[in-house]
Amino acid sequence: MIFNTGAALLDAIVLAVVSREAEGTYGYKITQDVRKAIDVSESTLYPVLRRLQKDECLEVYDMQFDGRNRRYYKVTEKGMAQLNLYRVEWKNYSKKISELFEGGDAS
Amino acid sequence: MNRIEFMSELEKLLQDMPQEERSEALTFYFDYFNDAGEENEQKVIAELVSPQKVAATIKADVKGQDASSEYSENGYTDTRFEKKDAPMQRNAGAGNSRQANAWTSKPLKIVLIILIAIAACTVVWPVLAGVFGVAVALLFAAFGLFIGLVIGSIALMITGFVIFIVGLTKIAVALPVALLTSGSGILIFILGLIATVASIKLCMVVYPAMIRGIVNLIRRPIYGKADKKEEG
Repeated sequence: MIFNTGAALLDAIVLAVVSREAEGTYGYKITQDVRKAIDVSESTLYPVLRRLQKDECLEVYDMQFDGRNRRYYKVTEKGMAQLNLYRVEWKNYSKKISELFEGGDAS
Repeated sequence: MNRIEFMSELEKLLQDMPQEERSEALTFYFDYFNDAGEENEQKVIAELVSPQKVAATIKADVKGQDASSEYSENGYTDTRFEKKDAPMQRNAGAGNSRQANAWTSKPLKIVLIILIAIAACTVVWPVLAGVFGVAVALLFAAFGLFIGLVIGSIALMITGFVIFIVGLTKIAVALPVALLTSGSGILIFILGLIATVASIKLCMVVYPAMIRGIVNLIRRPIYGKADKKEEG
């Protein structure tokens, strides 16, 4: 992709990816899912998850899997509110850009 | 490098972080390797690039909440790191501007020197002329002294030769006197010869040194001290 993904957009994408799993999801899967949409390096996602966790948009819990603990991430209520805000913002933003690109009404 | 080496290297690099941040990050990457599975181990390590890069990414985000990072088609780029990557370019620019400043200030300096010279004219010129005159006189005196030495030596040589000839003319009249006279004539001639050679040698050493000194003295106010250093 030739367009840069800013920090806010990456937050929104991560929140959206995590919110799709009601029971929460784990680091490796989040990374793979995000990388289906945008090309980011693997080391990028941990700081984003950590930041969202500190901002209380994500909560973590450990669960037994395959004989070991695995850390799961889940979107909090605050996170859902934040995600909805992002969705509205993105809708407006992308609509305007699309209109410009596709030669819609300029006024 | 395998995942164990990667993780222990990362752990070392995160040692200066708070305990909680460190263990959170290590837990994440420990899980990450487990979930990726052994078959993807090398792929994950390659994509993470290096423990150094992972550590830098973790630390950069903990330090400051940012708007300074971007995610482009080349993956994650932190603008703070990009700046560090290109110090050469900026230094080169600064160097150019410094040089430009130096060029503009040189004419200014010359104008100032001329103004000062004009202002100081009334007092300085007579004194300067006097000093200059004395210097020139001393110079010529020195030249004269050494030339005098040479001429004196040559005169001594000629005198010795003449005495030798006079002695020879007396051979028929009084042999012992003639031998004594011509012998001392030869002695004086040889002394003169030695003195001539020595004084010419001395001149060859002293005159170039004197001329060089004068040239430097004249150059210094015009070209500055730097030129003098280059010569030395």
